[in-house]
Amino acid sequence: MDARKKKRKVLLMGKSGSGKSSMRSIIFSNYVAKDVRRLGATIDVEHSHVKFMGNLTLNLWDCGGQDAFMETYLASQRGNIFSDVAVLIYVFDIESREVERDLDTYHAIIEALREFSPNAYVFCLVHKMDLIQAEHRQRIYDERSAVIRSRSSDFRVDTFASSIWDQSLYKAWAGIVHKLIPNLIVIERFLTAFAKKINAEEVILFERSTFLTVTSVTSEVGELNPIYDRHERLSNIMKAFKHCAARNTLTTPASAGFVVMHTKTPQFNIFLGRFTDNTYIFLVVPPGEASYNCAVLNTMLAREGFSKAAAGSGGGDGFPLPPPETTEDHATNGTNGISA
Amino acid sequence: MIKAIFYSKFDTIEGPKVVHQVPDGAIVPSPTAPSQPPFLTFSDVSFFVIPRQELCGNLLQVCTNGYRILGYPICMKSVRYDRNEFIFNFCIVLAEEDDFSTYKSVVQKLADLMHGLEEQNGFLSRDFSKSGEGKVYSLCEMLMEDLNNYCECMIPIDELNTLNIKLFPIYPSPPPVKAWQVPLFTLRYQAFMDENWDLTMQRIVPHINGVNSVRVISVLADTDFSLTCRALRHLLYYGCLFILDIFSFSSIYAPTAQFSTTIASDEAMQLECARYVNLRFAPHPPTGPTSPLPAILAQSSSANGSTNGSTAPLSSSLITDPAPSLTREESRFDAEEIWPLLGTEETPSTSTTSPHTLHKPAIVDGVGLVELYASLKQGQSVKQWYAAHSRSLANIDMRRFITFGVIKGFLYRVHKYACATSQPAPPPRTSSFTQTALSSRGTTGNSTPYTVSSVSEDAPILAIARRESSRERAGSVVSGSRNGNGSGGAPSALWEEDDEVVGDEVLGRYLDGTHCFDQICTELEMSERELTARLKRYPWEVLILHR
Repeated sequence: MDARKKKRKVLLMGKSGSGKSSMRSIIFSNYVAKDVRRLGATIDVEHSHVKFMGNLTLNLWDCGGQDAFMETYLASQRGNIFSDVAVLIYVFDIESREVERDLDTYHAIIEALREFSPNAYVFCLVHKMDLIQAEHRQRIYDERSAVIRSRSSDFRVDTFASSIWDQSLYKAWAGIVHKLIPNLIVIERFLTAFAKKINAEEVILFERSTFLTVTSVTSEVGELNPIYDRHERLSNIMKAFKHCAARNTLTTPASAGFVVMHTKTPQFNIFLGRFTDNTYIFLVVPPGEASYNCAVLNTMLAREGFSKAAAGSGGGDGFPLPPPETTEDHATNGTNGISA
Repeated sequence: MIKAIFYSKFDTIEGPKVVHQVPDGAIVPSPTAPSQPPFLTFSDVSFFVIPRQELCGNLLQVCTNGYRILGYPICMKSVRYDRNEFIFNFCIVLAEEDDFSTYKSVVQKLADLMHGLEEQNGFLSRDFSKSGEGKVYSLCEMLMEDLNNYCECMIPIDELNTLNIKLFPIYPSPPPVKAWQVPLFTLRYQAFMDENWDLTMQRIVPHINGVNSVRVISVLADTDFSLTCRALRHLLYYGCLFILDIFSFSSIYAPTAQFSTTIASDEAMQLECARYVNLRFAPHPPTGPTSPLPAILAQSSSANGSTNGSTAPLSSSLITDPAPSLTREESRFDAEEIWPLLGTEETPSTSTTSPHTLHKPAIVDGVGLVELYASLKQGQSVKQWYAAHSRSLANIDMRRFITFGVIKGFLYRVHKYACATSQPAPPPRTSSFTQTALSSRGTTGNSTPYTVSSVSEDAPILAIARRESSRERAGSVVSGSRNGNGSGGAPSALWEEDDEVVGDEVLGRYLDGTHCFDQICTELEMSERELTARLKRYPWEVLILHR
């Protein structure tokens, strides 16, 4: 994989005020939802390089959505904006009163993308879903995504309903980054094998800074879990926890990391801890002190194997692992024992 | 020249937007002026007109399509604005090659004022008037018109705020003023001076007359020398002054290369010259030498008719705007009257005030003036030249005659420089001075009535200054006061006895060939004759260079 592939361009577009910069700030800059009210408008294009999974740099282009800007993107800036795009994230404001006009703009953008980056992934977020009454959400979302698909030319489009006020935002973005991780298959294969070995009900791998789900493995028992959106809920909860920790330790949310969390209940045991430099691992194992301790120890041991597995699949690209650390480091730092 | 002024803001729906533009259609196409093609493509430069928030609060300029846009974007943050911000910019469009330095302060001031107005009562954010209408538009319109036509504006905005802007030209710094230079006003200072001026300035301006050197001015005005120099530099900066040299009869002047293209071929300039140098048009005798009255410049060297033409206002009015005023003036005189009269053979330098007693006198016409100028040359002092042309010069103010040539650039002063060699001084008989130096030395002692009178005015002051500075004379170069135009004057005789006060060491510092006689005389407070005599006693051979 060459350097260009690693620096994938991610376009974030949509009408002005649809919430592009807000969601970017929450996902990548550790804002909390109520803080985004203070953001100003984005002028022209705001470029940011977001480190994801260590050496995967997302070259995020947050494009101001005012009409005048949209015109220049489609005209004088066309080649500059739409070439080398890996992902286009287009944000629709569900509250918009000019649906037809929004769709026309979207179609123009899609045409420009087809011209310069026909292999790009396209994600459409139907945003601000919290403003719709809960009972109508699914229906309106389905209608809207059907219309969007009909205007997407030959791109295969993934749509998500999202809101910054709940975990749906994390679901959408987890879906997006999932597409961007280059050696995901290797990681998934390893994780599946590992889950089987330690007899885990569920294993989830989170990215460290964004706490977005990278991938997960669920056993047959785990599939019985009725909480379908537990992954994004965890992201949301951990983000909130980081903010809380930052407030109490007088640091910034970005630097407030935690090392490990244990939860032991009569029904299940949970382990959440640093796995590699860029990931946290979340394990759900059956109850029982012995089997739990065993799983934790195995996880620590697996770190090295993980590193080797990634290394064997092409130089550890996209999934670098640190040199083996001693387990004491992890044990000393804040161990939360939560009993349910 | 401002090509356009426009007001741009960030619209949260539309993006960067030109709200008002003067002239209509200059920046973005306008339905009301469809025929006018815009100067530039706004979308190409909008990023610099409405930049991102971090760049606001800075002067930004961008050039496109041969135009230069100067702006000072302001970003105001407040919860009362949609999207928490209000970003605006008042831009001035100039031709790219034009000097824009004076407009920098204009855009900044405009931005500051608008920032204040917006903060006070939402002057801009509440202005929903259409393009080309409303208060903000008329403000832009007036601003452009006033600045282009009058270089300043005073536009009332509301009962509390007024937009006051003036364009100040930016000139290069003038060179430092030297003690031995002679300033001359290029315009009538009474017309623009008021009592709020700097005190030093108020004291020195009456003494600026084209005769007094800077040192003399500071002594006459009783002002600090360095402050005097600074005040004069200010006047110089604004082009209010010419810098001349000390006029003396021992000086040498010669025509420059421009001679043939100016006075020799320009009849209007000949007329102007005649008008300027003819004693007939000299102003009335002044009321007193140091009178503070502003009406007529007090002249320090006025007792005699020869130098009474030294009032700056008259001379300067001719200099600054010679052609039109002169031709009008001239029409009131017939040719005979404007040209200076020839003197009679018997009385070359008297009865200047009553030429009409002579019947139909001969005149110095334009050709005569050119011939007089042409006869000035290297190696001939003014005195020698006067002696050769005394009849023609009988009704001509000699100082003005020379000054006119210097101002117009077709005459230049040949300065004398002394350069000491390492050879011991030869015996006095076989002096190494050049022939011209010897000859001019020989003549400087003979004073004319004009210079005598001129110097006698200065004498008491000089005497005081000399007394003071001789006390200070502690071995270093003394910056005393001495008027160079007294070099041929009688008072020098008064001081001959204490000539030796200037030591060889002090004198030696001036003898490297870079200090002209005017400087040496001014700083060592000696006349040129004294200096020449002193140089003869210098232990080393001294060469005198004319250039």
